[in-house]
Amino acid sequence: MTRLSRRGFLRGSGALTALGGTGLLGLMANRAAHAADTSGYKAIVCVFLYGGMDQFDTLLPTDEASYQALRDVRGPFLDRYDAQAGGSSRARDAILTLNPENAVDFGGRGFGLPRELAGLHGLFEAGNAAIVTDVGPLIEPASRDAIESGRVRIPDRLFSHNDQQSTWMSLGTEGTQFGWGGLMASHAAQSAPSENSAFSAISTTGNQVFLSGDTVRQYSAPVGGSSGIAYLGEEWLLGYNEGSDEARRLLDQHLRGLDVDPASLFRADILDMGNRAVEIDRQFREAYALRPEFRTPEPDSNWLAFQLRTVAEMIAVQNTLNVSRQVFLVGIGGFDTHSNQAGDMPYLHGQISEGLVYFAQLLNEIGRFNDVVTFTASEFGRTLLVNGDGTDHGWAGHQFVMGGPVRGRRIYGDVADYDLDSQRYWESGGRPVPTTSVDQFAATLGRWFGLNNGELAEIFPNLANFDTADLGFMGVSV
Amino acid sequence: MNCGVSGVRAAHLLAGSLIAFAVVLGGCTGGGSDGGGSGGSGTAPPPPPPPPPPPPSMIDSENEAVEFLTRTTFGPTGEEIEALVGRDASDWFQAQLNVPATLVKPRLLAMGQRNEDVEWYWPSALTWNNMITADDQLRQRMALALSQILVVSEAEGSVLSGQPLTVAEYMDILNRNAFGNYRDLLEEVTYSVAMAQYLTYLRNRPDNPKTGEVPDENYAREIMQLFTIGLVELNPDGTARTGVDGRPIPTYDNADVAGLARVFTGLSFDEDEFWSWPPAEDSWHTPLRAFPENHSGDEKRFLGTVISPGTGPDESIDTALDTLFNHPNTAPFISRQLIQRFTTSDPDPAYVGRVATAFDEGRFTLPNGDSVGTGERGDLAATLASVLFDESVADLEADMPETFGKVREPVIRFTQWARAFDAAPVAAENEWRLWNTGRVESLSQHPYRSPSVFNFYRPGYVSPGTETGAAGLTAPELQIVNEASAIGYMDFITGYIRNQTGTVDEAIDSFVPDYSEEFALVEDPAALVDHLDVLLTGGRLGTVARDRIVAAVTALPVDFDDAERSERFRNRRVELAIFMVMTSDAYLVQD
Repeated sequence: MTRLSRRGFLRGSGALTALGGTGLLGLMANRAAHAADTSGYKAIVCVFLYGGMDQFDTLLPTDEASYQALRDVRGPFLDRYDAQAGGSSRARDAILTLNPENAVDFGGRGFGLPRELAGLHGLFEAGNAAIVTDVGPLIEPASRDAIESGRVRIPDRLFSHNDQQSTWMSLGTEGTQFGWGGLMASHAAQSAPSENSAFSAISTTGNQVFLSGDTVRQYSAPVGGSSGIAYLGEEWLLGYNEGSDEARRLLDQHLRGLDVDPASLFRADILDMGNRAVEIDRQFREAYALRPEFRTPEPDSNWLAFQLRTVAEMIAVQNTLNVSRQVFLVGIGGFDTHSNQAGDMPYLHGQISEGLVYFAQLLNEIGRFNDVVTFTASEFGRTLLVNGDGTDHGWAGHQFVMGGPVRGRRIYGDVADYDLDSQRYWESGGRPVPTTSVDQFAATLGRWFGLNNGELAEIFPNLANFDTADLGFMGVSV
Repeated sequence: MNCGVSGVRAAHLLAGSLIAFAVVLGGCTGGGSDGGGSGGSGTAPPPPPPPPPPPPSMIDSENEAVEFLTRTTFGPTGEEIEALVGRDASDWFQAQLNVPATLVKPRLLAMGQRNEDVEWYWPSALTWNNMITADDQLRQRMALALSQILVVSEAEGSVLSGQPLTVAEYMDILNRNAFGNYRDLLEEVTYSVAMAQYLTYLRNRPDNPKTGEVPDENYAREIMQLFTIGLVELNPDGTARTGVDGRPIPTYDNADVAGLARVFTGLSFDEDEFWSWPPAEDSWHTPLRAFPENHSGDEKRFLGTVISPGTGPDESIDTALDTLFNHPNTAPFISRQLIQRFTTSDPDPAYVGRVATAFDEGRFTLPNGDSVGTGERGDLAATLASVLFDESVADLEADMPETFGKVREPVIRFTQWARAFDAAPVAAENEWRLWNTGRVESLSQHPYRSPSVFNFYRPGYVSPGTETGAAGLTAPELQIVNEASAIGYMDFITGYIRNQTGTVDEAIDSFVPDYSEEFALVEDPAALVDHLDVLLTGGRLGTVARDRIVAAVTALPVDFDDAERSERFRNRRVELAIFMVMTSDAYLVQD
């Protein structure tokens, strides 16, 4: 019960820095050195593509041999795109050719994007976006032989949606308590104790372990702004006399659970969230009211774009929020294309491309394009073999990285060819083994975010198993 | 075995006019089988030890009645609370088992025979209406629980969105089988158009060596991961078994998925031809048909079961469902999730073990001595009885540990309001807000509209950075509790409490609450709050919250020279009191 009483005390203090900045598990970590560099402003934005995006259908081959090799496996499937009304095409001449600076690394192989990714293609060609290929959860470098002979350890519960979402976000299966986004935010927040860490880790896609830190807790931001708690904010509801003011004051205390000694742990959590809903929302609304009006028109019916607008608005008011390092998580679903992939994928690609281009424009408007890096993630890629009109759960995938700090117009990593017998594929159906680990991918972002080697090693204990901790896409070294 | 209803109990049930009391006279569930069966699974299990003497299930107070009805209905009503006090909860449970199912599809068929003839919002609107008004409260509650395990979704963007009859048929499958057998339920689900579309095995084809195409693995994977056995081997009490390396043991690998995927090939609409298009109107809501010529003739190997080459689709599916249903994981895997839906989020393994035993044996003895269930493995009535009357939860007066309880599902927070205050007319089809409560600005939950097959929240969710998380408790509903959703609920419920929600037909004001009982107490805020405390939380507010609500209500003046203004403030007192109780920890958490 002492624990609960302490929580009651915290709630009663009403101090937002206490809410956001205090270790919520009572684990105010006593780190020897708060080394994270927190000068200037930096933000990381994760765009999670729920369901597992088909990498084979995203980065397409353009050289004749590779294209034919893909057709040998997926020929009738590729033709389905042309058959869709108003649909896309996977014809070779319909592919938007990428001209990476490091084309030489791939010999004669050429790559391109489907036409729905035209916006991203433009960002890539302009040097503002890069592609990291065949990245996925790994414990140590792996290949089919090494896995089948038991020589290497591989992550648990591959191919399971929820577990691989968790593994991408937190390096562990469902139930893991800390995510690398939240841990990076925790390190940064601890190095800047005067800031308001309530706004260090922000989600517009519900509660996700990615943003859960040891000293930072995620805030679920209302997309498009908050109207607040009507009963507190709309004064006419309780009237305008002295008694009304008193009732409002008591209601405010009630919703924050002030002085209540919770009868159970579930009640403690509910009371705590009541307090956050009152206090953090109040701060959010005060800052959000100062947001700029963007000139760039918002795309129609694009949920990703809508979320990213809210992110851009919060970045624009980061001074008022009093935070200089932020990690955001946005997300869209629909990528679990077991069926009707030719019908669904063009739309989904279009949403991503349109959303990211729009976000880049917003960041440019507020002069933050060089301070923000945005990346895509997805729980897994998909099988090379098709099931008729769709694909099944794979492992490695390709991801985009966008922003001023990105060393763009490059493809980082190997790209599996279409030979099912090669060491790159494991299990039935053609499930590619990653050649770049999530740890390497994330650590590259973390280093840019200001974390030092020690901090990165703490968050990513398996990093040492790989030949490099910096993939180079953040412009440090290759 | 005492299967019949004694004259004494039947008499006071009649006197109490409990919902649908009369049907209890129909006798015991499951036709009173003799309990000799062992589920037909071959070797007979050793006879179970004699059960301990059952705890009493007499309802002694209004608070106990509220507690029990909170677990078993979509919210206690004043009448039902009154009717239950002085009666035996076991009797109430048995009566509910015999209430006929309130179905959705027959109502829709009266509107039209084709999906496009019925407005898209009807299955959902009728589900709301049934949850709030139907007599088969326990069945409806079980169906909502099952809909969160055997998930299909008609959420916007889902393949099922805009297929009202297809969805209604699925809802009815869950309703009809809510007290039936889980094996039968699995089969009906497997042959449903809704599931086949949602998990993409409709017209799934065998391996094609010429093109390299392989069967769609979606259903094969999820029926194992989510509907039957889960990812890791379990002990009978639901805890994970560990291997020699101390780590959990996976229940299946990709080869099992690929093998099982071949089973779910060759299913299409109930037509003459596999590829018939468009299917006849009623094919969208009748069981699928298996086409042997479109079914995989290969060997199907999964979980140690081998189906020999050339076996037909129905037989293959039968064997596959038997394999999954009889797997030792299935009883604890399903039992634990049902417990989470009715009583507590992080049940003690012993509790899970006892419920799993009821699932295994298909039988449970109620506190009143009556036996529930057919004696066949997978009996859901027996399983549910065990969930509700387990020795660890049946004593409604007991002090529970701080690890007990669950966050009240947002959907039920609303239905409970509507039932407690007799809101009328209950016409969800007339309420814009009830057309979509899934958004975070609303309830973050809408029946049959989960964002994915993984439900609104996961049974294994442990909330980071919280007290329950620090204690390692699973807390599914906390996955949809955050700053935005907390406010969403508050504002959603404010609209209903104040009867200020927009209606589709402006001439019909639906969900008008009856606050007459509360108005009578408006001059006595303490009595008003204490009344609401009983009605909504079963007397669990606690003094700090209770006194503060009384003070807040008292602070609102009600005596003005202007009579109209006085009346307005009397309303405000009632509304504020209800809002504050419905945002208290005692209401948001069911314990």
